[in-house]
Amino acid sequence: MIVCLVLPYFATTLARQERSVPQAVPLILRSGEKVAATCESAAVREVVFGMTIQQAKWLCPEAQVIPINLQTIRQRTEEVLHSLSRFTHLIETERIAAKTKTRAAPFPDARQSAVFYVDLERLAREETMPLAQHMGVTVRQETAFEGACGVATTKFPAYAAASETRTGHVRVIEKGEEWAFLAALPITLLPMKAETRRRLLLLGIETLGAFASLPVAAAAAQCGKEGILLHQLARGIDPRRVIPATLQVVERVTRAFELPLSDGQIVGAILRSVSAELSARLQASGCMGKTLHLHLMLEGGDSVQQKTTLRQSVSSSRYLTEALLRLLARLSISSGVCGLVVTLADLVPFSGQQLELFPDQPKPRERLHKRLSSLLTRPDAPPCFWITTQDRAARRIEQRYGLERVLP
Amino acid sequence: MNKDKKQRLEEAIVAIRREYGEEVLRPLGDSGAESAVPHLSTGFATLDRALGIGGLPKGHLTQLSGIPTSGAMTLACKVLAQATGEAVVCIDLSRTFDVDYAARCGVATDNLLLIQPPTLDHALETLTALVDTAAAVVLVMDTVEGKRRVNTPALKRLMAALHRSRCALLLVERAGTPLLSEKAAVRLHFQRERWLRQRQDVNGYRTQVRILKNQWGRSDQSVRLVIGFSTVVQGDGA
Repeated sequence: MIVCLVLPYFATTLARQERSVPQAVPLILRSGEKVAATCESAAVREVVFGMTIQQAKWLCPEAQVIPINLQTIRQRTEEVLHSLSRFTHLIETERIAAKTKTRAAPFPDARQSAVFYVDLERLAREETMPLAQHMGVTVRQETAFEGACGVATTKFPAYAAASETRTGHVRVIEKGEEWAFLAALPITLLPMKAETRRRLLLLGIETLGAFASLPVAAAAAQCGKEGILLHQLARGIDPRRVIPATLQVVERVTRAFELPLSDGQIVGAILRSVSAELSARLQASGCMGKTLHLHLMLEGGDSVQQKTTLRQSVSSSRYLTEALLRLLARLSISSGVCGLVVTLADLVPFSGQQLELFPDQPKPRERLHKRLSSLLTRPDAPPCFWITTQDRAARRIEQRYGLERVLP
Repeated sequence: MNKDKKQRLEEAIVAIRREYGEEVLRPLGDSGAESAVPHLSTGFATLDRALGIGGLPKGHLTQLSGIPTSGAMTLACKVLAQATGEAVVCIDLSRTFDVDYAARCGVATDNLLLIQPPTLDHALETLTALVDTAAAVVLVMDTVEGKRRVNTPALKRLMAALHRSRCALLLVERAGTPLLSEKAAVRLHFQRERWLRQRQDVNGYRTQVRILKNQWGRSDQSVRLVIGFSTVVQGDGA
């Protein structure tokens, strides 16, 4: 059985939590001068992804517009993944793109949901339902996100069930009932390209049932290769398996400031305390980290970030501080710092350090001299010289270096 | 190559590696992968890439041939400079070794031993005794010396000692000596293409390096290097 957890309007819910924006105020997240995500009330007023901020403001004048923070979205997605990983490791999630592109929305559906698929393999139906409820409760308690759960034998019917269910509820689709359940649902639930969606709507195909009743060849003729998969999905057959997401183990320290900091020295001092905390945590867990990420939230909602991969894994506070201060120096900070997030990734367990086995080894020159000594005792030994530096700045080249004859 | 053929090739590669070890097969031009052959970088990235293993091999003989001021000795000096913390030896048969230029190439002169043997036989004998202790050895040889007969047993002893050691032996000469060429794992020929001028002054030259022999990668390819006369020897050319 597959459990699909849908957290609708994920980005705006997160932004509301972070910025303490009241529920009554519509919220629009921007990326540059375009809309990147909206809340439900703004979506009702037809504010959609990719629209210019000016258009959005015209449609929803009382909306608060703030920049989207993909880094935080990714972090919180990972937190949800961690919460769900208590139940199984077979969890798939849509990765949030590194940048919001102008044409591709960062979220898979119209409700800008974060979608998680949990594969419970051969768990009995009667046990699946309470477990799905428990998952929803765990996610709500640990991350403060409330979602809807759908349970089915494959991914798409589970997703459709979750999308059609109110938040805080679970809906189960029995085996063999998928087609009947999906038939009345809108075609926009299918994971298809915008062009395919436009084409199907122009053809008057608005429900999954209408699409499923077409012959496969017709679907393939209209939508190409994609059409065959979409046709299968519309019929409740989903050949796609749950591809488990790799959970990256990271150590993260977050600081938020009541007043924006504009003094670089204070930020530096805070980074020192952060690295001390990070180091203490690493020492306690017996780990070292290699990739260090510094993310500063600035006044006005903008953010800047820098990342570095250290030459070797470290856990020492001193090295972490040095690296963080180097990262800070690289950042161009245009306004006060409201908060910071330091993430240390690529964690590895402490490894034994190779100590020098023979610390009293002779120097290269001495070693060579020892070997030469037997050679130089011979009567026909070739002349050997060490190069000595006399005066590197001398104007005459022959005065810069001298030859010191090696004697037996 | 179609998918079926590619799959069969991959299966064959896996079978061969299982039978004879991981290092027995390696795609040519796979410079991204970490080389399993111990080597010293030449200091020129394009040449390192062309050589396949990331530089000149340790435990083997490399022959660098070319007329004076064609870049052969510069390359030898750059290789010596890569052997940091280890002793390096220069056997100067032609008595033309320029210490100042070597220092400008980055050679740590404090650990540089200069030997000026009278003949090639003396040089081979000295080398056999020293290859164990040094990281890199450059044997600079004159054409006249190369024309003479090479003592085959002495050369065999040297090659055996060299293979046991982790020392890179570089032979710099005007024209390849047949017997030594045969023993070399890598042979590079340097040909100066043109001088580089800045106003009236010559401030460097561009040279073409042809890989005549390469035990670990493609031979018969060439690389262009730009070598400057200013304080630091410059990097790769076009």
